[in-house]
Amino acid sequence: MNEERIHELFREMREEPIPPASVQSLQQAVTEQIRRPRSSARRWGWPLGLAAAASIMALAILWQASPKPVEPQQITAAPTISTPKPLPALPLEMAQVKTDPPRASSQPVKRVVIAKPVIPPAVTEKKSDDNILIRVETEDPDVVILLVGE
Amino acid sequence: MIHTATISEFPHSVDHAFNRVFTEHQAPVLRTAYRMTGNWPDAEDIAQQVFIRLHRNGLDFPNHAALASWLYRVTVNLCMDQFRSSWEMVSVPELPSLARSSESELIREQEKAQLMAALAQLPPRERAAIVLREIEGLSTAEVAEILGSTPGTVRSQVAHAMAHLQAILSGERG
Repeated sequence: MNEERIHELFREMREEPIPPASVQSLQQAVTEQIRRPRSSARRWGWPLGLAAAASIMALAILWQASPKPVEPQQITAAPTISTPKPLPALPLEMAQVKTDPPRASSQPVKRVVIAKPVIPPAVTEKKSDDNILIRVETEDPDVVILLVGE
Repeated sequence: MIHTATISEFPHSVDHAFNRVFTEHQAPVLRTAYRMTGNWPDAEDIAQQVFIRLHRNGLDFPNHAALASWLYRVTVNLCMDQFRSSWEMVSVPELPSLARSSESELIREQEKAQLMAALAQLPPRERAAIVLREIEGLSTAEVAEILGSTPGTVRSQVAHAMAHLQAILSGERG
């Protein structure tokens, strides 16, 4: 079969009639599909899906923008508050309490005396040139503070 | 001249404009789908999807050529999708009825059947190019627009397809 014959057969194919059964079947199928109302799930599927996705993204953005809460310290045990029992009501009449008489000879109380550090008084020396020299001795014998006043 | 079966009018619930478009374009859509798939039931399914999409899409086309191009493009794309979903789709062409055919007609119908079988062995892009260019008689530029390629690519695809067809048919005869 040469190329010219192929072209000729293609032209004949173009002019071939379409089976009427196929045309009628196609028309019926298209008519049924057009008449059938679209289900609400398919009609609202896309808008609902978009709205859900937008809500999730908005929540995610808000969650990232908000400051992180301080983590609560771990509480080992809940504190228990014990309520004290009410005291018994006092009797209306005061009871007479017998006390011992004071002792005649009481032993002296021993007291512990803490000695204060003794700071030697400042010695003022006067020089001949009317300069005042103040010598301050500290507890450390190696440290002496000298103040010179003119 | 294309001979199509006479169909009754759509119900009044269907838009009149859609009815007119359907009546005018059902033949090329069905024929293209048939040449691509190789059998009428698959061609009817694809044509049905094409016109359902057209009804949902609306008839807002700038001109008649744009509408025809859109219909061809959707038809070819749906056929391609079907090729991808079904791994190998080489349908056996429907053999002509031998009851009232003369000998010359019988030979011609057998040659058409052989050509259809060879067409089914072509790669989908080459098959689409040669169906649109040679069987539907569209221009190279129109085929390029439908397939989303360039006229040069279409010319190359058609030339390759013709060479493949000749090789397949000569192999069958040898």
